[in-house]
Amino acid sequence: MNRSTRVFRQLGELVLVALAVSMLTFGLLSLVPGDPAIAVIGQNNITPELLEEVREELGLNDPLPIRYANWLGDVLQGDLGRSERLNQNVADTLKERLPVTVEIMLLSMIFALAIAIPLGTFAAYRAGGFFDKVITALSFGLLSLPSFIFAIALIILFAVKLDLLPATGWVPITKDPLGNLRVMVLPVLTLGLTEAAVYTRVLRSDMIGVLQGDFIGFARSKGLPVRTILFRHALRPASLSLLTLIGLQLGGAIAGTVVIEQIFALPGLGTMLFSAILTRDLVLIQGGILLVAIAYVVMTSLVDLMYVLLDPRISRD
Amino acid sequence: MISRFFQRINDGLGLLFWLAATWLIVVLFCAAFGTLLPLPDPDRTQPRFALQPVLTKGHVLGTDPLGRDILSRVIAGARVSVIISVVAVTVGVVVGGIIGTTVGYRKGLLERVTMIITNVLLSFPSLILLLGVIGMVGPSLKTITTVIAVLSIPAYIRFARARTLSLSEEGFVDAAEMFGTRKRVIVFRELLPNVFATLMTFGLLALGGVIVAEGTLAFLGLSIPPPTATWGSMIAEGKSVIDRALHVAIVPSTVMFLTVLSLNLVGDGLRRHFDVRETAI
Repeated sequence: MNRSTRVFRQLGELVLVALAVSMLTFGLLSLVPGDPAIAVIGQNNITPELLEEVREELGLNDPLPIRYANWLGDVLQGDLGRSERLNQNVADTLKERLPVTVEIMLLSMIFALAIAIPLGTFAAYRAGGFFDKVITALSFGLLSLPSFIFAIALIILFAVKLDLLPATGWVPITKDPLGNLRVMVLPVLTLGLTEAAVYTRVLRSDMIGVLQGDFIGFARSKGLPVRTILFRHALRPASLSLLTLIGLQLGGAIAGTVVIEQIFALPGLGTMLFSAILTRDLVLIQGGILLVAIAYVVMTSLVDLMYVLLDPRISRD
Repeated sequence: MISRFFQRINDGLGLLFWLAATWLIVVLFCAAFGTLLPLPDPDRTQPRFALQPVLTKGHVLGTDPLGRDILSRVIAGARVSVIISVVAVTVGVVVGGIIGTTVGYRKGLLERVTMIITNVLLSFPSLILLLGVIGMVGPSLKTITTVIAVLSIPAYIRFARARTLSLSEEGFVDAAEMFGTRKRVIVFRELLPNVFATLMTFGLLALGGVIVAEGTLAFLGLSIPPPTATWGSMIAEGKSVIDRALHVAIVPSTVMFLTVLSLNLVGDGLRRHFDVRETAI
């Protein structure tokens, strides 16, 4: 199979899975008891005639497949419905909330990589040594630490004891970039350090394999400095698993930020979904879950595609 | 002396493994017999003795904002964590294991459909699904356990199928087929015991994940309603008085962390001992 068929097949699969995801999102929420029409009319002014009229108007009397098709058509045109509670279009709400979540995700990822790349590389270079043991133990411990406990520990240390950083209080980046960064420090530390622990472990184990390769021995016998060997020659082939992981995490991280956003009161997708769940704002939940799940599916496919494009050996089998 | 200590850690399962196992046994003991211990009632409020510090007479680990004994509550919380995690993981392992092994061995259309469904389910953010479903049906010990168990099934299906595929290449399955053994018997007698053995170590690591999931739910106010003590809800209560009394948050946090850490250490130790590869997924 050549490369372009492979790419097309991947894209076809992506469309299929995305369709299945949308079906499931729609199906799950139509199973939820309670009549959306009642939410539109309001609990106090219900009459049977009015209810029937609104149901007809909203298309709630149509069979499920037709309702799904209508809904999907709207979604494809960017219309995710309207949240009566917020009195706002779901698409607009998502657009408003997404940047906050993306900012947390990207900042913590950059922070995590800045820590994990040097630590993982050096741990692998002296595998089994003291430094390696400390790094391995630390990352194991961090991975066993639930994020909300870690967040509380950081709040105790930096906000309560040292009084250095704010624990809550959102500042938009457009208003005050520096103030925004100050608010972001604790959430990013919480997420980033945990991610760094995962990245370090993954990079370390790949790097140990790469460092045993012949070309590393060759580079060494040429007398190249260790730093050049590690970061110029070994890092690239050793980073394939790391890249996969980053891709998967970028897709899944939106969900992972719920707790962090909640603890630090950040107005991102996570807090939005959480309050939508508590108030049973079905249309908003539907839109939110669809966005998160599709993001995940797209990122997984991108990772697979990236393999095909980066590594010609994969498309041969 | 120190080098001998480190040597002990390195050979066999190691000292850390046994320390972790001991802690888990203590937690299990508390979950089973905690109510028989001579301790104050975990739900009895004594506002006059609110926020007593650690090592107060009669309250070794202090009291919470309502004056309840923290040690009693931590022990009562152990029961909730143990029940939810053990039941949810067992159901997930058994149901997911059977489905995954069956489709992995039988192959064909059934396998393909199951795997597509599994992959679709796995692409939903599990925490949000968990929050969503619990938000709809209302939190209780039963609903939380059931929902976590059901949501974890796809991951076990995937794992069991992968394991079955690699097991099928080994001789014993071929041998059984040549004897004319029926397919169902091969699945249940030949494959499942092997798959379960692998899933068990995976499940030990998953126990920690379930404890964290329940803790997260409780922390967000979506676990078993008060006054029932759970570690997560205790941590949440502790967070609200963090500026006045640190121990209310620190005690249950430490207990939860130690438990999850111990589960990971024991799971990881067993996995390495039996050399189960992570990459088999």
